[in-house]
Amino acid sequence: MTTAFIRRDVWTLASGDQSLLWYARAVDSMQKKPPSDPTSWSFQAAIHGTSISMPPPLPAWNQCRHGSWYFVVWHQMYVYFFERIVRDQVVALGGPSDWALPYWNYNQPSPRNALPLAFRENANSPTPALYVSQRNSSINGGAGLPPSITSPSFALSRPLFIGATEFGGGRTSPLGQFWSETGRLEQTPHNDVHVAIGGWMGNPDTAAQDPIFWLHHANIDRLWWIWEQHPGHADPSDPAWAKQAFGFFDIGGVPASLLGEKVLDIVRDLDYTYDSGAAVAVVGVELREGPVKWPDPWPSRVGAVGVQSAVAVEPVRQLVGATDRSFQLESDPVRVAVTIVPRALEESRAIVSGELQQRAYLEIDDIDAESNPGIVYGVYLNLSASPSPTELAQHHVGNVSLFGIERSKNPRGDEHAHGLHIAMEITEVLDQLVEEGSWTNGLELDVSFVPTSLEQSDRKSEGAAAAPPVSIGRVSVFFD
Amino acid sequence: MAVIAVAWVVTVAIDLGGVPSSFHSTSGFMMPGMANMAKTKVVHSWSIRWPVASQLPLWLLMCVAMMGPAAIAGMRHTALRSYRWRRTRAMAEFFMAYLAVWVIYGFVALSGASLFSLRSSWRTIGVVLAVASIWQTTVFKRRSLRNCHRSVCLPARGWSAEIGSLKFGFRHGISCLGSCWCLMFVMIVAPGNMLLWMVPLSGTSTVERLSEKPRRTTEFSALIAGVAAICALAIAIRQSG
Repeated sequence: MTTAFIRRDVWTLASGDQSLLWYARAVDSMQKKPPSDPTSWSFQAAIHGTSISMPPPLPAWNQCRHGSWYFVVWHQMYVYFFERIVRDQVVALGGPSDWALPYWNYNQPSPRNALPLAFRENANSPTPALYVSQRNSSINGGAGLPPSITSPSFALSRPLFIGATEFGGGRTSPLGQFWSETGRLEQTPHNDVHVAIGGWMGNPDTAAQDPIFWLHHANIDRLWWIWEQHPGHADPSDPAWAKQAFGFFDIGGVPASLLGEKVLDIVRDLDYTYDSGAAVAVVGVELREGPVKWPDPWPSRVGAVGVQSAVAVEPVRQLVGATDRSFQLESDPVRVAVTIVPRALEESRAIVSGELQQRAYLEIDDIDAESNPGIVYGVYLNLSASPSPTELAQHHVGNVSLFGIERSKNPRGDEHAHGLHIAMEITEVLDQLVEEGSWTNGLELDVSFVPTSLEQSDRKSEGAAAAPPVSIGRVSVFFD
Repeated sequence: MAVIAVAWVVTVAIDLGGVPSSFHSTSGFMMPGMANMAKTKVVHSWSIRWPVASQLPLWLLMCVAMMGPAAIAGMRHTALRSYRWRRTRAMAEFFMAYLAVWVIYGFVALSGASLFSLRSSWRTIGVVLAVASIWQTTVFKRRSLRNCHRSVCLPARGWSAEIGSLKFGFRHGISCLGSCWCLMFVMIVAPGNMLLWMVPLSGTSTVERLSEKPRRTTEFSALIAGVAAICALAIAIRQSG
């Protein structure tokens, strides 16, 4: 039986459990400390990001890593040290020494996909420090996050860690906050939940000021832990990742740092675990066992393919189709056609051998906006005119949300400005479309961007009515 | 990469072969201590002796060699975002547009040097290096260098694809010019052995482009340029005195 600290699901805390009460008290106490104190609420939040320019940001501030293969490990360390500081504060206030940060597993049916009550109540709440008005009002009102935003399926089903279409994100420099190699976990549910909650959570410079941020990231960390337990999944062994150290502050404001390779076993290395001892079954569209004939001119899929475990780096994919012009997203669904070029497929066929995976990917380039519109757009293939919920679920390939767009466009220091880039594998969904007869024209793929609504709310977000348009440069299909 | 390598090989051949290159075999530049040497002669800067248009081929060769490495990332992006059969053409379009920016700059700079009868002297070099040192520390330099990393969405087919590659190359060239115009101007007034100037200047621009902390690199190169400027101006003052 482990003696490690146990992080528990906030919605299944035992009756009488006071974890959130002590969390609120610690938050309140930390908020009273000066910003220059590394154990203060302000300082801890600013480590992730801050818009404060006066006094000038401290070197330890604005350090979050996004759009990068360092995303999960940096945030794991960040939450780890934060939890230790909070626990120390809890003990100082007379609370339990085994306090651990709860996590919010929002991929559950109502009401567990809604903001926990302790974070919503205000005036007579025993946990007033957990409530902030700077959120989507529907979220504060109890609206639920839909499965299309909260589901970890896209992420947990990825066989590899490294790559923008894989679990953890693509290779980047360890410097700089926002890159364009966003992995599947970072996009969904991480970015999407940030955007759906909105307010402070919708901007990386203010996100960590919201007390729910930490429970959200505890869940993201838990999903990484689950992914690691799946047979065949492996964290990067590349020294550029494993030997990379990130600095934070520990109890008492003492500077501390950890290496990537030193945090891979959360029980042994970091002395904490999660209440769910068994790995969650990976739910997602299953690979077909038999041959799947994609419509001409696509080469035949030869059936279930092996995990790309032997391939440490993504293979070079060939462009086989793209939209012809840029377009904009607003508050209504948008459908665009990706034209597949037969010559590109023929040339890909010539270089694709039976050993390669014959997988297809969708890439969405140059996603730009003046600011985060606060909308999560679901991306779907070949939707009918009036899709049913089942059809939506089966044609869903991923989401587009613009968490971090402000910082990507206007980076600090030496980082270069860029639009956002999202990539996702669509092989399994294409198999599904073929089976149900929704994809018969191999020369075209319809891609729909559909704004996602919160459950029990007819409002997509507070800003939906006046959401700034999102421009997308190109939607492409790649094949390898 | 092959084109850049060939450019360097040709440049080395020109320099070592003693071919009177239009840039550096003629110089009004005297090393300290040469003033009393009988065979010393002060020669006008190449920019006066040679028509500007005839100097452009060598200028282009230098740009390919020195600025080519900074364009590799852009060419790679262009290639990977293009259909396989037009990758070579797309990269060529990008590189041609990129170089066009530098050729236009070269024409303007060479014309200016000719117009103002710039001599390759210690004073001229000192002033240019001083300006380069200052430029390295400006926000405009940093902004241009940052923009060198900016990639754009490229149309996939048709005339839009061709124009897209050209526009991307041109845009990349503008950013690169904003970052390195001063360093390249040193080549116009630099005397003597071309390679002695090309190697450190090219190395500086490449390291700046690839560095994860480019601000440190630019600050360091500003310091080196500043020290070199002071040395050059000190020699100029001593010679005139």
